[in-house]
Amino acid sequence: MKEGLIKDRNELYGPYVVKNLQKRQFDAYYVETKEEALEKAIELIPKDHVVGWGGSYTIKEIGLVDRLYADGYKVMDREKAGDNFDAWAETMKRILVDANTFITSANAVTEAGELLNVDGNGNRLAAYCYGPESVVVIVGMNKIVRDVKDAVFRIQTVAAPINGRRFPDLNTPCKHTGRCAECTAPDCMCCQWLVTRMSNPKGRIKVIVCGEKLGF
Amino acid sequence: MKDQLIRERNALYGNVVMRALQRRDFEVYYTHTKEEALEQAMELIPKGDVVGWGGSLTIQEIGLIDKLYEEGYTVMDRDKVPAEEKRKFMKRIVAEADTFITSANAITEDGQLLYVDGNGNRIASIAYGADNIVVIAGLNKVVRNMDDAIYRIRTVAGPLNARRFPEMNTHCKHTGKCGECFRYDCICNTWYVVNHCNPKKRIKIVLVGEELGF
Repeated sequence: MKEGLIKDRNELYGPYVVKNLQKRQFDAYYVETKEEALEKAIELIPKDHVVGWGGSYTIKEIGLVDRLYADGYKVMDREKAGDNFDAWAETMKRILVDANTFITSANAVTEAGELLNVDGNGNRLAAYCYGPESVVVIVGMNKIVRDVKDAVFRIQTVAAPINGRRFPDLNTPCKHTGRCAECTAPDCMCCQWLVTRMSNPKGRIKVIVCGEKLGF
Repeated sequence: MKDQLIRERNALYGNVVMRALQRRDFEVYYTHTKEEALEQAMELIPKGDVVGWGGSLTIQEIGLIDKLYEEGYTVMDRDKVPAEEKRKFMKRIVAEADTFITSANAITEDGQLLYVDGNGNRIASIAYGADNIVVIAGLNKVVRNMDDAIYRIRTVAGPLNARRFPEMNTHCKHTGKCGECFRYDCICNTWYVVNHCNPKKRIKIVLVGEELGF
């Protein structure tokens, strides 16, 4: 019963956000489940594209990276750089130039169709605004917020504190208190904020809104 | 007399902004004039570096690009490539330049930088490009807070920038104020805030006690 009600509501609210994203020249789609999100994402990535990605729980949760390997895509896998930070950074830079599709999520999406992203070191932001010719964004309904102010609040109280807890050696106030303290700690993961208010060129950024909770 | 008073106030106010920026791990310098700014900028660019830049009236006004050519730097000059190759070339600047020079659209009193881009190459370079970023900004770019920074862009930077391009046809160009448009030629697609410099001192900021750019 409860799940049915949530599904009904998401099927109404999701397409509303999709329509607003389309007004901003994004290609946008609503799907009900994460299985459908995976199929849609694969459909949006041409077979001959070289694919790169940034850190994202969402794309792991829908199984996108495994599927790319299974389908024989050419990938630029940052995990293959191992623990060597310089090699990792070089891979991330080459992705900007050499990849054709970048897959990622967003930290928040406003009802009006803006994407908000926050990065510690900026590789994901660079790919968003001037990297590969195609960017595929997968977001769960849990990422939808009213406006940019609420998007910031969401990041300061949900995305950052939870992300902070993923890394044992990271040491920010949000990790220990559950809320952003506007720190400038060397470990801060919120050095740079990006609002994408429109896709340019039209359709370069494709957004799949999924009626399930994905990532955080 | 008037000039001297302005110069004194600017040096004081510049110092306030400088300290706020330093707290956020930027490396910061204050210069009184644009001639000094040019010298300071040159000191911050190592001789062997490959240098790229984004569109900026400020760096033209202080004569930085001419000076780079004069001194024999290896440059990645975006104006020397044909239009159809420009996008690829700007991406190569992100990945391959050692130093990237630019200005900022606004700087808040408490040390945040705000950028707005039409196609995003400048933001990509700052976010994850060159190891060394040199920002030159006149004190006219300094605003009280983020709300004022956005207002500044919507009423000053946006409309003036739009008027530079004859083929452009945005709302702001014709009314002097942002119309929150979603036009294909909108120059405000991507908004970007640098809150904290990471790695420490990667971004160097030269504040100049004169009006530069818009």
